Amino acid sequence: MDFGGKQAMRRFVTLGGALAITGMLAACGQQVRTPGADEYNLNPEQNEVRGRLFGTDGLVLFGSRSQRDDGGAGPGLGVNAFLWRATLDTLGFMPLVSADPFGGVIITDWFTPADAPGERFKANAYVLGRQLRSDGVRVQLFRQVQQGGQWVDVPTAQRLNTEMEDRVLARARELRVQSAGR
Amino acid sequence: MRKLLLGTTAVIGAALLAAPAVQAQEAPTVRISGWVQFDFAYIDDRLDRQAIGIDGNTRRQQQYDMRTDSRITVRGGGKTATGLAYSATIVLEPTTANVTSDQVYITLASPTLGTVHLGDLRGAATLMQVRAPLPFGFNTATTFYALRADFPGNAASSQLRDMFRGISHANDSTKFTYLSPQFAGFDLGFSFSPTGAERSYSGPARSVAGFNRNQIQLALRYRGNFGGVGVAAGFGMVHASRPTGATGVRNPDGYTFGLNVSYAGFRLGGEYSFGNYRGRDVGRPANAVMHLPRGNNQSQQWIIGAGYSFAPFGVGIAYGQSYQDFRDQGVANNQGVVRNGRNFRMETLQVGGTYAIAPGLSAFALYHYSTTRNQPFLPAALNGRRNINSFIVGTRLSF
Repeated sequence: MDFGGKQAMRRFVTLGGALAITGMLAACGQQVRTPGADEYNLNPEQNEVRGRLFGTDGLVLFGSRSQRDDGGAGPGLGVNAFLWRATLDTLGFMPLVSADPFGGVIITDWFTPADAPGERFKANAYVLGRQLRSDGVRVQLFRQVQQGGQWVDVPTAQRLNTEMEDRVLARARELRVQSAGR
Repeated sequence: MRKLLLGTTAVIGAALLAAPAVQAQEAPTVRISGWVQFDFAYIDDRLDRQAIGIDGNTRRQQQYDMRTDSRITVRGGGKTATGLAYSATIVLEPTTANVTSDQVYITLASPTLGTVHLGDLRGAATLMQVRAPLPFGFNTATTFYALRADFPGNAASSQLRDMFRGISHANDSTKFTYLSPQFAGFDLGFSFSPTGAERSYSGPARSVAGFNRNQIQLALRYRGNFGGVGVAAGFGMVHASRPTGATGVRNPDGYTFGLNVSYAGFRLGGEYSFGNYRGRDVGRPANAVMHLPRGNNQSQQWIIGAGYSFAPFGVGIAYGQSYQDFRDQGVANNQGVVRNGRNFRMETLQVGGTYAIAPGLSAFALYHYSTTRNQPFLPAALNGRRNINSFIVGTRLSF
């Protein structure tokens, strides 16, 4: 079963192409994830290591360790990067009027859900600090309903604000886990 | 009230559906990590009781020894806002003479498209092999103590150790590797290495003597959880063309299957490998003389193992058998004894435990037993049989 260079290259291209297509097809699904480095036998000797003195990734020589230590106060941001991005992700379905990354304030425009055309929402979100904490974000939703051709303010349930904050925190947790897993 | 509920559901639903896959960008960093291991071994080898010892002198070998081993890993990289993680890794191996590079590679990893490794590191079959649960130090025992090079100068004999290592184990040849994302529990891997040499491309690569050419590795793995019972199953293969100019030997290849089941700290599993290879590293003869000659039977090996972790302790046991055909090695050893090594068989049993003393610091102990039948190159008095008992205790500090 000897084969020369050209034949090997053809196999290489075919197999590589097949795997790449598989990867792309797989990427279309919902449950696709790239395994972390610790899920491979990268170095069998090192796989036997249990824990490290300086955390999972060793000692940082150059670059920002504080990015991990404070939970991600990213460069160019005055507030926690994970909470900031999570808030943008969560409120991204609404049109934004203002987003101040230094003050941590996000203000959206009015948004009407497709299945509730008679009402509209607006949100103000505040990322409160540089720490990744469960009380590090506040979301205030405003709601109006249409009555006689006019938009009329209606009080929103506090539960709605809390639920949005929970969505932001869950998303921030996802981002943190993805970041830690690299 | 109904409207309020409707609106609430709608806006929360919209928030859920609209969240795009934005990643947290990370600035480039350079990190250093590594480990140092010290161990002490006591070895009782039947060969040592012969008038002619392992090194051919008329004296017995030292029955105990100490050893250190270490690696230093330097990794620089970052992550883009689109989620693409990029890094360069250099694994350094200090020796008594200097510091050599063990592995050198670049990694690109997308959250949904998989991982690409470019450079010198293990291939896909090794990276994704599902091995039997092995006690800490299993490879250490078989590599450094169990079957030492019997007769210096006999290249084939020096390969009769490490018989239970994984598929293409120490193969850090320069290669391209693609590892797919995991989908429904399955992931795939593929590697290609043109010459089998490390740091290749220095000179006429196509005629690098002694190295296998056009090596391909494939791997398929499944990992899932069924009501708290973890299952991992894997298949891997490696195939290459024999070195330029090598005649009378088969193209090396190897195939491996593995299965692991885990539940509440317990692990149980096994692996079976076979192929046209000889000596260590399934499917990857590290030495030109270890290519399987035509007319010889394929090699095969199997291992079963079990382990239990109850932090900070971990214990494990493994048993394996390896069969290789040395019928062509009807050659004289350094005593002029000719021995036919057909149906060479090795068995190993290892029992070990670890204890995590502190983060990064662990201690381990391992009992190891090996026995061989029809082993070539041995003194005639042993009749091809050799028993080895060894006990290893050590500690490792990782930073």
